[in-house]
Amino acid sequence: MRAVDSDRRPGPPWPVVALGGLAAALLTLPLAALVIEAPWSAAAEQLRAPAAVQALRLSLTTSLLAVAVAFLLGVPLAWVQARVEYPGRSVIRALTTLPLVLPPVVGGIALLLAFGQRGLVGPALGSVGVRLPFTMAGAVAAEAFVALPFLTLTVEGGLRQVDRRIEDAARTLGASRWAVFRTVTLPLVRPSLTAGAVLAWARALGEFGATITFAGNLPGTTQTLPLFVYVTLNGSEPDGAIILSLVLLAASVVVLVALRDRWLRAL
Amino acid sequence: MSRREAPAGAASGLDARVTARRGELSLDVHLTAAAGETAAVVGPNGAGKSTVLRVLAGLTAMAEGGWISLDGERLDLLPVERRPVGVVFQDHLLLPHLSALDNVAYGLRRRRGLRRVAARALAGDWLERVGVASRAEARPSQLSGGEAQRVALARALAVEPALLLLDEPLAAVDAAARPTLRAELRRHLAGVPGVRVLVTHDPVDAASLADSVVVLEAGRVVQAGPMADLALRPATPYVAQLVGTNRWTGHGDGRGGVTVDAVHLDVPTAPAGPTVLVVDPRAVTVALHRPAGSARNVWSGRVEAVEAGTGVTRVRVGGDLPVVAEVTAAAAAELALTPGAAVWVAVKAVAITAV
Repeated sequence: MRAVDSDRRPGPPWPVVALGGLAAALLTLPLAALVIEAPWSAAAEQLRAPAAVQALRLSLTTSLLAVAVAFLLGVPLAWVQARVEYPGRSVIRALTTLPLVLPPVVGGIALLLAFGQRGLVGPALGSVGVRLPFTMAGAVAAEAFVALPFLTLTVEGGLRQVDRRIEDAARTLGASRWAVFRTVTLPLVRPSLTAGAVLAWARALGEFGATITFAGNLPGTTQTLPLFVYVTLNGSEPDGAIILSLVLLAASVVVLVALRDRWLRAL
Repeated sequence: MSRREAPAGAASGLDARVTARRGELSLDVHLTAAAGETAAVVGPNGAGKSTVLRVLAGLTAMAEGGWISLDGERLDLLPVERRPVGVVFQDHLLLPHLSALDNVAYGLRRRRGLRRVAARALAGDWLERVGVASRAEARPSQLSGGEAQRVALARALAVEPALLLLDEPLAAVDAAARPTLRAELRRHLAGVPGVRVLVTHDPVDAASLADSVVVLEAGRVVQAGPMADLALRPATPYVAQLVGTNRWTGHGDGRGGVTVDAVHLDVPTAPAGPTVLVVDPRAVTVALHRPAGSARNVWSGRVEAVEAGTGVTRVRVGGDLPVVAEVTAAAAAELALTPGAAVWVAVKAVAITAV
């Protein structure tokens, strides 16, 4: 007979294991179904279809532009939030984080009421020749709107980790504030910048509700991949929708792999 | 403390009235040092020592009424990056994303405007000089405490500062490596033509590295002057404790022996040539007869002064090698130590710090 291992714990309670297993099945089964049921033989043909290529290309363009916008505006916002103490900072943080949890369609309506032709600032923008609703710029704006919080929160967290005395040390070595930001601060938060950008890109790529509400569903202009998938699934070509869903799934997997150090190892 | 206005030009060296307000601390410190001189700023924790350095470097805003004049120019009117200052920080604060070499090159490029290749070549020379050339490509996280502090020193020296600021440069170095690093630091400081300001809480550092001392308590100067002057009339118990330290300059033979005046002393390790010896007065024993024990550093003298404190009596002994000893009040009474008494003084070799 083996000696009883004093460290050995009793077996896990079966209801917990059963419910946990059910949850795992709920999460993985649909994805497995997508992979198993996909019309693989038609994949090459579907991916070459002009409409699909157009949607793919548009999605890549708009999502990357959205990330660029998020980067350009989000990094300064994150810096201000991390470094400047001002009254109402937490209110601003709450408001700029809201799109994370806001139903995207509400975001789309809000964008319309702000930048639409009869919106709050839409007419002013229109007078200088900027028209957002139902344009590709509008699709980019909708994606940036939902993606920005991912970037700002991640980068703000990274900036808070930076030992500011290291920046002080760089200044005593003759670096101006701007030089310190470029040559010390940004390199030190590079992991956060990468993670934030990847997260923002994934969110922008999958954006549906705000885009269709604010920018519409115009093929070649605002009909991004998720919109195209939705339309074709209900139309004559459900196969195309499934294949393009696989493309989006693959993108998600790539994102997860890219962020594995940050997320999976921390658990 | 004098309340005079900023001095008008031409004076060489540092003349500063450093003021700052930070929470409870109100700092107002008059600091002077000639070029080629090291001034130590000492004091208990929270006295504002590091704040003095931060204000001099421009990292902390100066409060009203302050000024910093270096070689006749107003330093406080310049932004941090344009001040001709080099700073060695307590925990080195090397740029973590750059190699040791690039940390040194950073200042050469930014401050002195050197090109990348030239800056890296010169940075390599500096690493060589502080003895860490072999670690040039290492990241700061891969360096030992002593190595990191050497790189930090090279980085500060490389910009050829007119004002070198050192904030507890040995505090983050482990005790075993400290004596070596202290001796190296002394050698490097001697090669800096500008003004050196050293912040430390360690009397041994102050005694061995500095020419003059400014003692801070609660943001104010309680005493300032050459170490020896402070020892004559310590203004506060803190100063007394600080300057009670014996400090001798002698000549090392490179084999563990140092000759100070007419006395030959055995020390644990000592370099050849000019050597500074520091001895805690508590490590000095005083006896009426020549001690027979293992202590080999024995000499005779006459008691010059006896100063009774609480439980501790400080005895100043003159003669071949003047020395201050701290003995218990009971021992002082037993020996009947009075000025003029002939005594023997002994110091164990291991109690002597040679720099």
